Amino acid sequence: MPGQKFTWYNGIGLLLALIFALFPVLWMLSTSFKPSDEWVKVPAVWVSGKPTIDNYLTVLAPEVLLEDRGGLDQYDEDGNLKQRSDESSGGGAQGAIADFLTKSAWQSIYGSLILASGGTALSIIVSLMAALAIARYRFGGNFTPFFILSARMFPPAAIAVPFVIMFSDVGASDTYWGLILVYAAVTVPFATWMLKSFIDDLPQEIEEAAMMDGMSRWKAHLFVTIPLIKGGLVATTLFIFILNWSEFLFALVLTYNKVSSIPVQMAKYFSATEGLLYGAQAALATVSIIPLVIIGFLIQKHLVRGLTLGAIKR
Amino acid sequence: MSVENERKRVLNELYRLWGMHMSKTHNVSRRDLIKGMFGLGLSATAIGMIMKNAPLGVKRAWADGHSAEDRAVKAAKALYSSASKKTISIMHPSGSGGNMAPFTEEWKALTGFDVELIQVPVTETHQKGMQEAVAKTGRYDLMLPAPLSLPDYAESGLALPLDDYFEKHNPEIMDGPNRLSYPVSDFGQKYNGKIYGLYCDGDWWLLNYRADKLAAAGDKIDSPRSLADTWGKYDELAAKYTDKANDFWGALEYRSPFWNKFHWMTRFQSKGVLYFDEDMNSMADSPESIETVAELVALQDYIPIENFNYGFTDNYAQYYKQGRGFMEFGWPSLWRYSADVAGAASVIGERDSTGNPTAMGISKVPGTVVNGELVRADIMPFAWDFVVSAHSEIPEASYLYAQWLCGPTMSQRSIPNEGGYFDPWRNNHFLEPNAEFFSAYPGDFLKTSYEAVTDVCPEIILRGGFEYHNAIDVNLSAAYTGQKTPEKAMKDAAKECNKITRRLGKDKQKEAWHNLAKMYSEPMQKAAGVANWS
Repeated sequence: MPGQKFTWYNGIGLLLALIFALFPVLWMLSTSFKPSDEWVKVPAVWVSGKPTIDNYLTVLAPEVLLEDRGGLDQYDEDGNLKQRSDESSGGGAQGAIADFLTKSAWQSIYGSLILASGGTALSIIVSLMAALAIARYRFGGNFTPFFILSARMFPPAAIAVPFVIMFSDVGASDTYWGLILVYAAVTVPFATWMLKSFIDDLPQEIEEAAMMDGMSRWKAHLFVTIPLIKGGLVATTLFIFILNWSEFLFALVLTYNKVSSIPVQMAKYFSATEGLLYGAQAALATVSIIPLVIIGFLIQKHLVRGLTLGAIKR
Repeated sequence: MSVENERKRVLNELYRLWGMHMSKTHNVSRRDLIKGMFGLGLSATAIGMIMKNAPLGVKRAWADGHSAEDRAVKAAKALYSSASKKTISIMHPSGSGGNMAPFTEEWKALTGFDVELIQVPVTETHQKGMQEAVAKTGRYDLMLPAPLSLPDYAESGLALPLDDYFEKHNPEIMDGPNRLSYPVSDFGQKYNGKIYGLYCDGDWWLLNYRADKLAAAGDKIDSPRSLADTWGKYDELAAKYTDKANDFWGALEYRSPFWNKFHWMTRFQSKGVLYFDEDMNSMADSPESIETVAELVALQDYIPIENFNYGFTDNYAQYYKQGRGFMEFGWPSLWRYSADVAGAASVIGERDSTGNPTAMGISKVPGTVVNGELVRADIMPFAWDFVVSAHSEIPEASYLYAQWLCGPTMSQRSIPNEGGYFDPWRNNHFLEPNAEFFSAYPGDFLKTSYEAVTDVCPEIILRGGFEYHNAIDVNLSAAYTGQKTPEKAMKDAAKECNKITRRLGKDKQKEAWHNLAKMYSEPMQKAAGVANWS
């Protein structure tokens, strides 16, 4: 209601909503700085009294940790592990090159950037054209939008193995382009529907006026329609990027060694002594939200416009 | 027909059989052709049988070697030049790379074959394998699943039977001084009578306890290498040593989902009842099972509340290694890391001048007296097997890598690596450990583990094993948290298990179960009456 006052209980409600929304992020941030004995401690450690950056080193620069723990010098020329010098004090186990210390997460960070960007770009290009065709030219009749959406009406797990078989046959397994195609394929339905709704809200007369002024159909869409739905396009792009950025299943089943993504890498942080490495997982998760925060910040003006586009009916 | 005529007829037939290609007319009838093929088949079989037993038979000429590793290297080297693929791709669970990575260069130098380690999340190993079973890409040559995966891998055609390779190259696992002892040798590697896995990690449970606390209280162990012979005694100790005021707990048992079923498996089966009866009906709702769950619920007063969330590593890291618990069942690494002051920051790992831990003791699991005999059912959750993919281009070379890495000598080098989680399993690991090996598993651990191997029993290593486990797990959790009574929980568990059996085909499951039951230890088979099963 216009002119309604912002009351104290509105404020409390908002604060609770804010805590609810931010708690997982704060917990993740806090865990990323905790040493291993505080990850699952009861009662919970909210903020570590002995913060460490080891989790970030594990993720981004494991060679630094490896060096701290004796480095590659602990192997002799034959590849055998040397005895620990402090054996008398109880140094029972030998050597210390755990899987997670042999490789940083940079490959998976680059991988996610390539996959999410490529998948999003392809998805948006295809969806935009599909949305224009459906919204402006009723391509395929009334049923087409539902037909496109039906591609998302079954669980991704149902199509994962057929993808593996097909990809293996055409040599697309463990390749960036293969996974980009999949990401585009599974996000096109969402993107098409979102973009279609933004185009639907745009009066067609504007494009017709541009064409009467001499523009071709393509030019009218390119220089009139798209700029006018810029906010919606940005919001859709970010939404699809987030979907691709956090995708786990296809990245797991369609990759082996060459291609990796952040969610798959995160699941690999495991050691015999500490089990799942929650600290390293939290550190990688924290690193992984940085690009999204930056993108969100840069496009916030368009984003707000895009998210509210169509909220007020003509 | 006279003898002479008969002789002529036979000679004629023989001539026609062997000499048809030499006939002047070169006419070969269909009958001649069939006879000829039959003759060729007979000849080939005869030659094969002769060569198989010949001292210098073709097969053995290059399969010979003075050790499992030597034979593997020689055979792989011979295969290298003709191999269509020069890299052995291994799918392995995250966290296990340290047992293999340091040796890939050595293997390459010895045989020419490179090794590619493809790490998958430890929780996804089974699914990745099953995905390959459907997709048949041949991307993996070797896989490293738990024995629990063997039935599904075998039934889906993913796992290649290894019997021929075992016969041909002798990995010294089934016999000889360095073998893996029965029953693990069988249920850890076989499914329905065939070998599908090459074992590389010993994972049967032992009971770790605080020897210093026991001595301080003036208590003694029940029998050699056995803190408590029976569960009754174990429960008494749990109660006695719990000191809640000082946050010291008598029994650090697992009560969290996934982990909790292992306690039920080991305690329940020691009562002389197995997972299923002769007719493949679940015994989860048997009186012995319900009694077991009631005992486990009663024990919870001596278990920290956090253990309703903690798994193995959390339990160990938060409690046992920090000196906050008296007893904990666990895998060999529990002892190993508890004794590792420097590497694992254990506060109970002090050692005496000879390197033996002073605060920790190790024991076989308790048991139950059944028909006058003490039966221990030492559960072996997990363990890892090398499985050769049936879709591999180089199955034999891949098998040979596994034989080499798991050989008696090589395994003593790979197991102690901290960056992995393989544990001792061969007899020589227990009886003739080298200094490095003994240092990783100090004190009385290896001898105790060796004695315990005869008590080891399997998880539900059947097709659908993960589903059976889950059905039991979920209902046990409900009983532990008070959502269901032990009776209700186990009746529900049995119902779900029976449903899984029916869905997978009762006859087939029954056959596999009978095969598994016959791979239990002799005392357990006797207590459960397996010999009388038809």
